[in-house]
Amino acid sequence: MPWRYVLVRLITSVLTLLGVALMVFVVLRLLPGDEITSTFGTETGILTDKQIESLRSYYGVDQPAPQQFLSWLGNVVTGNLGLSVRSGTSVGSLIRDALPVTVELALLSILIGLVIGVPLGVLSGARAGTRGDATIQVFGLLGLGIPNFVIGTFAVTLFASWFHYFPNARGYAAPWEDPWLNVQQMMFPAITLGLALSGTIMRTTRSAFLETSSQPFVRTALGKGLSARRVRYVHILRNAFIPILTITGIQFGYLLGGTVIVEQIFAMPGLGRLVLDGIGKREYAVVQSSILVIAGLFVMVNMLVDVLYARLDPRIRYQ
Amino acid sequence: MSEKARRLTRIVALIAALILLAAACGDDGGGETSGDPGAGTEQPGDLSDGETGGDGDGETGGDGETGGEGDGEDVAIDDRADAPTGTLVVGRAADLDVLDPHLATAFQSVQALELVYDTLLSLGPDLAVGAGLAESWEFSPDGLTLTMHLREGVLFHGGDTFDSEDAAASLNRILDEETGAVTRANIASIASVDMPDASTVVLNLSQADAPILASLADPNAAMLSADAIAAGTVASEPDGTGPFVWGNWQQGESLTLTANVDHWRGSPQVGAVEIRVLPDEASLLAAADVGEINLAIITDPLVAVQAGGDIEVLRTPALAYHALMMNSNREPLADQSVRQAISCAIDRQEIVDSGALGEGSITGPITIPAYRSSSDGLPCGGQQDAAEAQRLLDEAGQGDGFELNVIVPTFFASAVNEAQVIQAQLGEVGIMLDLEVLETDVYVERWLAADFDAAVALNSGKIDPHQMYVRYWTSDGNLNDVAAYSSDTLDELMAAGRVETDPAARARIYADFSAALQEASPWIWIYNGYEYRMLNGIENFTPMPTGSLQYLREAALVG
Amino acid sequence: MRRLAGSHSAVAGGIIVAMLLIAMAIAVLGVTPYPPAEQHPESRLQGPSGSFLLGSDQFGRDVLSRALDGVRLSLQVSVSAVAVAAVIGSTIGLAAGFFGRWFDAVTMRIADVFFAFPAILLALAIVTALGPGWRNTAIAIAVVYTPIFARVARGPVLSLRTREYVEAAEGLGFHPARILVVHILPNVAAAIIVQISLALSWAILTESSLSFLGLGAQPPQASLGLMISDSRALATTAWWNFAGPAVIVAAAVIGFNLLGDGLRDALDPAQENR
Repeated sequence: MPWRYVLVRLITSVLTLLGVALMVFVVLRLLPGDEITSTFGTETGILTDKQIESLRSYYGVDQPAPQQFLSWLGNVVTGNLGLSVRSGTSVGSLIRDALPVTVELALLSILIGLVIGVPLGVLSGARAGTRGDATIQVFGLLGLGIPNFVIGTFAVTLFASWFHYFPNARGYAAPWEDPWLNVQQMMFPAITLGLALSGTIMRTTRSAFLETSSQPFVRTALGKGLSARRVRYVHILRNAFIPILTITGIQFGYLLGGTVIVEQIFAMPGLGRLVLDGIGKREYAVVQSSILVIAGLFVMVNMLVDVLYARLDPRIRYQ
Repeated sequence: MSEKARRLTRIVALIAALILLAAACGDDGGGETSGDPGAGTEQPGDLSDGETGGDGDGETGGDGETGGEGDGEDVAIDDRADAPTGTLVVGRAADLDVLDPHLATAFQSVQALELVYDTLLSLGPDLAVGAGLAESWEFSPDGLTLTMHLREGVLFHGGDTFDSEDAAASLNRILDEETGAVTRANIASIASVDMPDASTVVLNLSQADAPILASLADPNAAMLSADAIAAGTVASEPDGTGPFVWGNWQQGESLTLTANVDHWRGSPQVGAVEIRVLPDEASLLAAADVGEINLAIITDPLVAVQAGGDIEVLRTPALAYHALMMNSNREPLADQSVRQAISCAIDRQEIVDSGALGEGSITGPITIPAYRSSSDGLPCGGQQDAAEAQRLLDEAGQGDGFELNVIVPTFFASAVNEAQVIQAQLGEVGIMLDLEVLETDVYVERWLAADFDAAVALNSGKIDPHQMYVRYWTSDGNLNDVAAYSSDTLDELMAAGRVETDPAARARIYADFSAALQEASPWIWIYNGYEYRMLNGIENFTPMPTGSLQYLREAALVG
Repeated sequence: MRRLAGSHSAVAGGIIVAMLLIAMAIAVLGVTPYPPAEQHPESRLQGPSGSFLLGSDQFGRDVLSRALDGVRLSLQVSVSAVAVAAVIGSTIGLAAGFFGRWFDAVTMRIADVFFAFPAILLALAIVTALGPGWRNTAIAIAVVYTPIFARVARGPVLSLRTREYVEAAEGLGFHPARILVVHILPNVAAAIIVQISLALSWAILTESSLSFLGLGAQPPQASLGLMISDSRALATTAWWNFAGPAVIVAAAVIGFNLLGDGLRDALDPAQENR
């Protein structure tokens, strides 16, 4: 195992995260308004100057921006993600509650994407050019093209108003509290995100399948009298694994973004909603720390994929 | 390579097995758990509240002692027999954010906190001021001293006894500019607070102030414990005297409040109230429909009209009003004829019909039921009259029309719709609107800076006309710059209404005020919508025009 | 070109994109059945009929006319955003790949930062900071896509850089800009063109997501995302308000995707698995 490579990746990852932190900070300060105007709305106009001054120091926005950034960053390094001043809750505990929701949702979506996408991709690759192939390809495109907010809204309306079934209304249940309810609550959001993913995975699987099918070793295996079915599932799939893994890793980033809208529609208390709410309320510490965690996840998954990728494919050399 | 792949498969399988194991271990089989009224029942069980009398609502005088004595005792005895059980689930689109009742201004925060805290005075369903933690009160003949007699034997949830020291500390905290309490402006006439004994507070006023009673009934004037104020725990550990005890809060998700069975009004009828957040109102309605939520709070009329099935819809005319605010400091709006022309060019009913599917009623400035303005005083009688509008514009030399920049907020669902109807209607008399739809904070900044020609607005109503408009329509009001209009007539009427204590005389003053305002047309008042409460499996809940949920203290679950 | 015509996806994608362009032309020429913002209060929320082919919305506006105008806006935003991103991003990518060293390292680290940031959140924050309106939406989308083009352009340059003819040109003392434009750009063009088509499909999706969240076009301007968002509450009773725009967004995304696939097959077969 090339540990130097991993080390270099780690260092660049830290640099990337530092960049993300700086960018989030700057973008947030560019947003008009602050925590006071977003808390008080038009009532801000009734506050006296002295009241506003004292509120600014309460919310910690009275210090110069660079100082705010450094003190936040310093805290993050020591593991203190800041405080949601309004509610008196630590951002760390907010993220601790929200992170498992988003991660579970992302993992389930990937699972659904793989479960639907890989078999369809193989099927369609094996029948390339037939009507069945075309049908599957159209399905994949639909998954890719229909915006997730359309699928999500449709699912909520359809099942709730026609079948009187809406498990997400029951307050989020963690898998260790009520696994059955948790599965029901995760189902629709995960399908919503998983469908889009399955389109991409299906297409990747299909082209990987087609490419490996024409490789000499597959022809050799067939020539040796191995059954076509066995060749298809063992030899070809194993080789198609790498592109599928890569695309899944890349899509993880898309998933973390996609959860923002899906969590909103399905009332899932995840990271995406935390950030969206935080932006709306100008809770700087909440947004800064949550996005840092999201970016950290993304960077980690990408690194993991790269390392796995390299382990699986000896042709890849590290720089 | 194949060996590596196999090893990888093994690792993946192992991880999957671990995850399943973890899930299985954590399974406690708990689905829905009923509320635990624990906190309330642990408290010492003396029935002191029966002696001081659980006063009914809507009383305007200080007759609490005889008023509800019997009731209070009966209810209290019932509680001992069987403490209430069951969890009533309330659903709404946003969570509370600020836990400090003196700082909280968002509806969502106030709605939750007023279940935990009491105020010195309280409001009935008709918005009449009645007794609260103060059983009775009287003004001195010159109106400069307000003496309040406090209920005895009331306990904070944390166990402290409520007395005049707590009342004084709470009022002083609001008055202290360091606190940043919005409601300070409403009680700023309090010059000092005296405590002659443990159950009396005397408010020394700098000027006669009749509406201060309504201000003391405002949830933002909550009574806190002096110890909590001193300890600085108000913002993080809610501890009040109200009908429900602060319980478990999962921020952004749900808040559970347990019944305070020892409350001075008597115990609530349910063991607990859970306030759940579902950010999408369509989802919220769906949840009420399937019975997962007993009381859903809907604000979007487009969603509300979809309600059907088992849902009982309560529509209460809201105090908040929809208006087109105009900036009379800018040309050509500085000309009264131009403003009246705009008022005449608008078809208010069509705005309600298209913008909110007919969900609302046309109103003048004051939406408070007891003082409600008639819309007859509006230019053109409140009817659309394009010919008259054109005549007024010609008269002002603006017959060829002009362009206006209009800011439109996104924090209420129908704003953009209303803006588009107004745009189409004014377009017909040559007034072109340039709409700018702004995210809430951006809108607020522009609004506060009066940086607009006109603004589509949903302004919150208050329970007293003085509170509602003193900030806008007196020349030294905090928001007079935003309102951009003042006149001696309005100043005089406002001052008269403040000192007048006779209800009939006050009503006449505000009728005149309303007429003067409509004549000048600095804003176009359009309509007030409804507060929607979607009920399923709940009874005996009384909605309020303020949107308050305080009557959850009487609500019960059905079946 | 023959390869392009032989590809099913390219043909299908081409047809959809052509239809979108026709829709755009109708809106630009102002020959929609009704003016898109015209309100007919007497016929609110009517189902599809002879006078309103796709029904009317709650203001009595013609859904078809608004959808056509929405397509125009969508394309206008997406095309300007992608054009800006493609020009700036490719230039940066070419330069990074060509000059290498610290310039490459810095730009690629910056690109990493953008990739690690959920795209929709970044776009959302930018639009909030700049204020709404189609230009700002386009800017936000352009910012999000610039690093993608930088990366796509940089890749091939790295390998071209070491080719004999490039080294020869350098040896002859040609100006780097000239080498980039004459020798390298044509070889990177295929990858960029494919990426443009794919980016257009994502840009349309992002624009509609932003409008869905209430940032984007200003009323009474029609926007597909906004139409979907507005009609959500009415989805069960007035489905036509929801269905038309939803189908068009999906078709547009799929169309550009197919076209991108077709282009890739035709221009750049080696890229197929990337």
